[in-house]
Amino acid sequence: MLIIGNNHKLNDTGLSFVELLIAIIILTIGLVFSLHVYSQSFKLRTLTSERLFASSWAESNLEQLSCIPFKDLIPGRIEANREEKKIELNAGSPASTLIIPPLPENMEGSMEIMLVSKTLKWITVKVDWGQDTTSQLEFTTFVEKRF
Amino acid sequence: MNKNGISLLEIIVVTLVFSLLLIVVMLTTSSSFKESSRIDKHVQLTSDVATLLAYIRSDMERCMTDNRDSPLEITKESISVDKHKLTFKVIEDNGFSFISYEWNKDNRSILRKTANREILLCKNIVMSFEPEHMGLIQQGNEGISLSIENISAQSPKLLRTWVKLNISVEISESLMPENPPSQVYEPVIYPVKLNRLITSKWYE
Repeated sequence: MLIIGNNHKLNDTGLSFVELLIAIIILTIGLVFSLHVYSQSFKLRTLTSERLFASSWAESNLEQLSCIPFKDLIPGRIEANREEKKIELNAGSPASTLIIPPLPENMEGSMEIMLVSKTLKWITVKVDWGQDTTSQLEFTTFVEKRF
Repeated sequence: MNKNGISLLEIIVVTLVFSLLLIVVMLTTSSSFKESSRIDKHVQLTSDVATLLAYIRSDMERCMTDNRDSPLEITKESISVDKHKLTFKVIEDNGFSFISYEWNKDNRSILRKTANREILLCKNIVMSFEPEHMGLIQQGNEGISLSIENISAQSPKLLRTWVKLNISVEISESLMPENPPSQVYEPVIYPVKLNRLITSKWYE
């Protein structure tokens, strides 16, 4: 132990091998953390375009269902899949034809028509492409009986 | 006084490990910097396309006509598409007017033109903008979707109409020479009010 000036003690013991290894481990943890941030920002990139695709898909289906005559909106649930789907909501009525655009593999979509009253129906379109709430969309609208 | 320092061998080992780690850190930082810039551009593309689609959807909600002819005439008069241009008639407070969306190849943007205003959307990013006017016709007991161009006055009845867009966007290579981010969208937009008018024609 060296004593300099007014009793200031200076430790001249060098860094041990173990201490250096600990420093490296800390650095590695930092590196792993930065890699994690990197992977998170990559997720953000895909999430933004997926969200735009999903909202556009849901909106166009909601619009399309709103165009179908009230009597042909038969309450029920419709699932979307990987291929374009063409279905008649009310069998025998071509005006009830619903053309559902395909969804990518990582997405699941569904539409639900519910009867609220004799003159009101509730339509919900859902898209789901992950576990968290940022990867889910749900749009709803009401359709009234007009004639 | 403890004089146990580090041996030469230990210094070499530590320096080697540290150098390797430093190289990895530098490579990761540099690639994450590049990727971060790509993500910024990617988000910018998505946000610009979202704005364009919001404009078109919002305008399409007002698509309407005072034409009282057949459903086919109504839809042909209300919506028209050129190769890179979409025009449609909208209802305003004081009557009807036209709104158009046109791709400008030179500045790679979409020009939205109303009766009294012009704005540029998706500036410098649009590689293609191809609208397609579609219709659902009744053939027998089935609904068939066709391009409006292929539907003649003699065709069976028109049940619904919509516009399918094909938009591709890309960041200019001058801004990002290496692998510029690009995206393709094929949104489908239904003019709900106009379709209700078409449906009501079949009940008259």
